[in-house]
Amino acid sequence: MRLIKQTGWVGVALALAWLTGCGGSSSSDDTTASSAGGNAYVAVPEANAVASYRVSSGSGNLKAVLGSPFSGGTSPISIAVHPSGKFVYTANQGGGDVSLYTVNSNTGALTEVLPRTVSGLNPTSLALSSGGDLLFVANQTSNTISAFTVSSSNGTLTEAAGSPFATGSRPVALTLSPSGKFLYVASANLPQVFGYTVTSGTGALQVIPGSPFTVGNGPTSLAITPSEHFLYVTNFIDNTVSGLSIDPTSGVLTEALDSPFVTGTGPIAVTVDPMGRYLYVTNIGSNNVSAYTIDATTGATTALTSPFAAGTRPVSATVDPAGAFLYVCNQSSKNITKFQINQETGGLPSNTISATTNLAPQAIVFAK
Amino acid sequence: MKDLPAVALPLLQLKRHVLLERLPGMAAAVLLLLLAIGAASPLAAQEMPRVQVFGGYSYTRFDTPSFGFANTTGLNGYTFSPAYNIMRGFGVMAELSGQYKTGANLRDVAGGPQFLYARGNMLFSAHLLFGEARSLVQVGGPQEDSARVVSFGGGLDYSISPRFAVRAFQVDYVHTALFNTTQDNLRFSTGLVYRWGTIKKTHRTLAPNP
Repeated sequence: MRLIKQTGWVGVALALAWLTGCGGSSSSDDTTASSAGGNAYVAVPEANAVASYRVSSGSGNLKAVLGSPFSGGTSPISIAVHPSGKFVYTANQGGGDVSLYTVNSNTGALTEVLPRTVSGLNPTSLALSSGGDLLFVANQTSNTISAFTVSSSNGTLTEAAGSPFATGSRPVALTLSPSGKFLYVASANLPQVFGYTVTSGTGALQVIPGSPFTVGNGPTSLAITPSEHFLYVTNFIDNTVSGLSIDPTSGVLTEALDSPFVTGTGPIAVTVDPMGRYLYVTNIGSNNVSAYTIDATTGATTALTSPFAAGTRPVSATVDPAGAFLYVCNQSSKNITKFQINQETGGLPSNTISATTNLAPQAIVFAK
Repeated sequence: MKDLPAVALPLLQLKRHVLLERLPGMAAAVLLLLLAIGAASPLAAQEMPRVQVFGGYSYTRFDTPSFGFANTTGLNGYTFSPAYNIMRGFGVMAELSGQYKTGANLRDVAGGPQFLYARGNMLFSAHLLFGEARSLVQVGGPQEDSARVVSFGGGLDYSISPRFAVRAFQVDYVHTALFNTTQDNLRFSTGLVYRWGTIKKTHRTLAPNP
């Protein structure tokens, strides 16, 4: 009898000790950084939905929120999050429209606001200004750019005067400079990038003198450094990435020193880290990521000891706002690879599968 | 009242007189009743109840960040748990518990051993329960799941009469495995315990010297 009682209390004590004695040790490394946490959203075209994740502070791991993915437009292929974190937008390739989602800050759930906003035919890329007041959409079949003003209160879109604006044949990607002054559009059919100045507040576009600018064959993706000094363009057919300097006044593009730079096979997406130090290119043909340092003066890139193996058919890449991790969406693997970024070299020394999406992920964005 | 010290009886009579003079009749009667119950001999020291039935209010801090919420979610509800004590200090208990809020709830049915320690009018308890939990959360539509639950906790009962005790508090760590992840939930309960039967402490008697 006494033994049973004693055993019971020992069990209680052990359980208490287990509960309170948790925690392990962690080592710090000067070459690594930590995630700031927050939210991430992934466009999943096959599901006609957007997946919502919580990003673990520190580790940067993705955890799907309950109820994810959240249904929306047909084949969302490009995604952007409003700087307030309250709204998410997708360009729906199959629907010819743009979806607006509101974000529940507590649950992380997305709720689509209907009706959707009509854009042109086959919208493939969208870009949101850093202030969240303008949204641009590249319409691949219409050969146009749709421009919208964004309501700060409810995120709704209103088409700008003069929109849609004509652009080159098959615009597949566009990017907006951090200041919002310039918009650049890659034309898949032409070895060219079209440049526009943006009228603040209205979103009206004016062609930059000298546009379009010559790049390599099959441009598929663009990225601008945070300093707004350089633009990089992946040339899918040439297996290169072009670097161009941006005139801060006119927006005119001039090819950078030693451009173009060699990539892996089928460079399909390019991204720059938030500090403008490193450039990453996903190569869908060779299933890897090419990494480069960026010369802040010339814009020339130096390839690191790369490429770094990714999943099967890596289709896009995004660096988190803290610059700690690179996330690559792998179409055929149906997962997202998270690479730790070496803060001193820009290399990708380790990677893990951060999320399995069950259907092909197309693009990931992070709320700041 | 037969076991009260002699000095207590006049004091009790004095209190009764004051209450009847100064308070409405019904309130005074209730107070007198409570006083009589409290002054009556509670569960005698060193005695344990054979059967306990607890019912009361529960608050659960639901570990909703485990499946993506930014914050934990507070739920309010009830716990009902009968227990049968096999011997002094050891018994088995069952639990039926449910806490709710608009858009979320957590319910469980569990059972397992409990351990008791009596000291004066107080009865300390600890238990380890195993069972099943169910939850419904409204996120983009109703999300429902059921999974195992392991609950570990303890409480304090204070005797107010031979039949009743107040469970001043019961705190439970409730571990669930809902929605393809695990939750570390915390539950606080308080309420009333109904008891019957006693397990008396046996006293050894020494054999007289030859």
